[in-house]
Amino acid sequence: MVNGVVSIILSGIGGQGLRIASQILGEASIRAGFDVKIRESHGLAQREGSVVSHVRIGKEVHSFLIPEGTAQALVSLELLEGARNIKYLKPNGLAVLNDKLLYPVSYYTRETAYPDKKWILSVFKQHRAKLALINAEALAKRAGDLRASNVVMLGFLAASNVLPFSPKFVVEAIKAIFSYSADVNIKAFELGFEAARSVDYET
Amino acid sequence: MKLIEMGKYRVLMTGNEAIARGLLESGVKVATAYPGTPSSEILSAYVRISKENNLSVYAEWAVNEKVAFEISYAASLCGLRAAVIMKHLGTHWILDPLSVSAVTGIGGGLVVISADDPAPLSSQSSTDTRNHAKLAHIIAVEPSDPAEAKELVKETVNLSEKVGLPAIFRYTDRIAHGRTPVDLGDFNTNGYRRLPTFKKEPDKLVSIAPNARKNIPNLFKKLEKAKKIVSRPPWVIKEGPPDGEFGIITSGSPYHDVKEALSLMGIDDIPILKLLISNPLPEEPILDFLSNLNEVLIAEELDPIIELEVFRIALSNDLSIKIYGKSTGHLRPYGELTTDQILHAIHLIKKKYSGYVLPELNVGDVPRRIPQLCAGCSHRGAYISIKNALKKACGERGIVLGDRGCYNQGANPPLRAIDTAIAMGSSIGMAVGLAKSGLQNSIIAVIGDSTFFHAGIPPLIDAYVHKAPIVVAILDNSWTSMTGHQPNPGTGKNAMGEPAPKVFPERIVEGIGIQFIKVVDPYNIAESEKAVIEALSAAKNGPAVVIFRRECVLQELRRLRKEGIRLKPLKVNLAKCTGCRICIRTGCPALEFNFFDNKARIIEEKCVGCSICAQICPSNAIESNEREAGLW
Repeated sequence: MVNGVVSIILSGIGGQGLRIASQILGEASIRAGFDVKIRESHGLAQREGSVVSHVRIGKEVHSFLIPEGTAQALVSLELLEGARNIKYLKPNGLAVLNDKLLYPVSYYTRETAYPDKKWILSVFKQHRAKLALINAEALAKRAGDLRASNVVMLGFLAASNVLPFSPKFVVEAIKAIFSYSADVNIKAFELGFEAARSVDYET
Repeated sequence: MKLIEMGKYRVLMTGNEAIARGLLESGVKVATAYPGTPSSEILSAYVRISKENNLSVYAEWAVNEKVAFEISYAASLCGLRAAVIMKHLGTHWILDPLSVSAVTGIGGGLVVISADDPAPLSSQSSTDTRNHAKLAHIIAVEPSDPAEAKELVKETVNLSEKVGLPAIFRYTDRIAHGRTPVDLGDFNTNGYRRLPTFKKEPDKLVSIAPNARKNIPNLFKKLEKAKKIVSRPPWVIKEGPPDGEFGIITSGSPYHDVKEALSLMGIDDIPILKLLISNPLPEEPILDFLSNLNEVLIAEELDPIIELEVFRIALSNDLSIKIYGKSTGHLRPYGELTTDQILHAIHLIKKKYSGYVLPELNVGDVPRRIPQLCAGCSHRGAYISIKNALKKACGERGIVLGDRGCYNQGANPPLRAIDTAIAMGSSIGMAVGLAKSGLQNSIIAVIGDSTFFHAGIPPLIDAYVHKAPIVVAILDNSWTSMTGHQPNPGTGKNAMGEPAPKVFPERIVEGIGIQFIKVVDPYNIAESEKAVIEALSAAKNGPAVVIFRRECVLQELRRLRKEGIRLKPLKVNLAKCTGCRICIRTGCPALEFNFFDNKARIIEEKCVGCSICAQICPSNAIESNEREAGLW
């Protein structure tokens, strides 16, 4: 922890449920008696743009933004978006990546490039990140809803000892936020949690 | 998320929710707004919280910011507490009545909530609206986070009412869309029980020059009164040791970045002065603070407003202090202020403070992910029709002037459908300007429904009166969509969720006297294209108007989902697909291209079956499943 604050960077593209994911972490933090600050991108949901959330948890959190190179964990719902935000991750930090490439339309028209997966992973290796690739969508589908990929990722994060509180607070937050679909999301959380136990980190 | 409200309770809130809560806790009975990121979520939260707590309020999405201001100003004159909410660019539209309201004075507390966007993340420019307070000689306050925002709203409403001046509550995107724990307080129910009274005071309220001359000195007396009040907490807060050689003055969210930077450097012996008000400036505490220092850094977001005042205070008091900030190049005069920048500035001033070094990381450029119009967006049909019509009728790309809204995404590759996007309503005014400059190209102004009601009508009258040979395309999707689907005069619904009369743009256009008006469905490319071609030839002697009408697909989908209706996506007949990528070049996110087999595919979970791609496919390779296009 940098000055007693845990910083987590969440990234992905509009519509992947990033905002809800950061809200869950925020609600869990309050329930666990921590201060928390979250900064979210707005306005690009549904519009295929990059989105990022800064989540900072501690006894007292100052800035909304994670100072570069200090995040303990990076959680990305898309590979390239993970690479885009790697500057926030501290060297040797944890990177949990959804093993998914989402090509922008401009890639199909050859107006922008999209680097290959090997390059993206090399960026993390160069940063000496503790890297885990998971298939969050498969697990979310198994839980009963493809849209729960975001919660699968949180399950993985909660199992990796980055959060300063027990995973039960995350489960409580999920119950409070998803009043109607709590079961599916708790299942997704559990599947992500289990995945963390059997994962081989690529370093 | 629904807030659980049980007296004093700690909840996670965005700044926008916290401000809404603060307005209600201070008894603000009338709130008006025009949507604009990052401010857009305040009014809906205000309505929601007022309903959950049975508070009797009036909330309105006004036709534009100026009208919104005038409604709230009038409510204030009647003795009610009132607020008006907008993004920074919106405040530029209210300066005329705002500056007069300072001269006339007000009744109930009146707060202009102004959301600045320093980066900018969602604006065409980044302006510091604290400047307006200096211009109009009114109060300007700023919070540093959501929890403080809620409390500061309450203090500001009280201060505004006490001294009789409107206040600008300036906050930024980081606070608007940041979340922190916020402690809920009680509602000031007295504010809701006030009965409106209008006192006839022509000496004040008929603000003709002789009356204004009489009232302006009074305005400065009020400012002096406010200055005395704000010389203590919560308006100005001193932290750290009583003195030292180096100190920091800060305001807004940079306060937290200053704390972060000092904590990263491991320093805890630097005095900090945090200002929650920049006009009037708490001069005495600032002088006090400066007197004990040799060097000071000013960390504020956007313009060096406090900084220049600090220079003035130091100069007029013969202080030999070194002042650093934007004017000395230690901090950038634009953009969001970050911890990294403050670390850098402190290090430049005090070489000994270098306990923190950024890790070096050389990733190279990660390509930008360019936002697109949504799958099934009706604007895509309008843009494709306009492009095709220009090519067919004029053999050229023409000049297409855009306006402000979702349809800005149409400027991005691959669509590249518009050439400009300036300010609300600018498309039509600039189209007149291009035509009157003698430009020979075909000129089309594209404007959304909400933007048309907001600022498009006066320039259209101008175009008609001056016979400007332009085509005006109104993209009417019934909602103010970009900012999160607020109702506008064309929606048939108001901010309180009640049914409202609907205004049809074509009736306004007709009323002006314009002859050529066509209303088309942008999902029908052939019909839309034909209308634009006709409009181009009809516009030789004055404006011709084409209205592309179809409800925003996101709203339609929301409704269908509630009714349990599943959409049937289209599919690509791979045998027919020749790999020409004409469909891909519509920028539809529901299409992908496989470079290995050289065929397009439809992403089923994204496709809404609008059939625009099917209509423009030269090989008729995109087919509907069971359902006919346009049926849903």
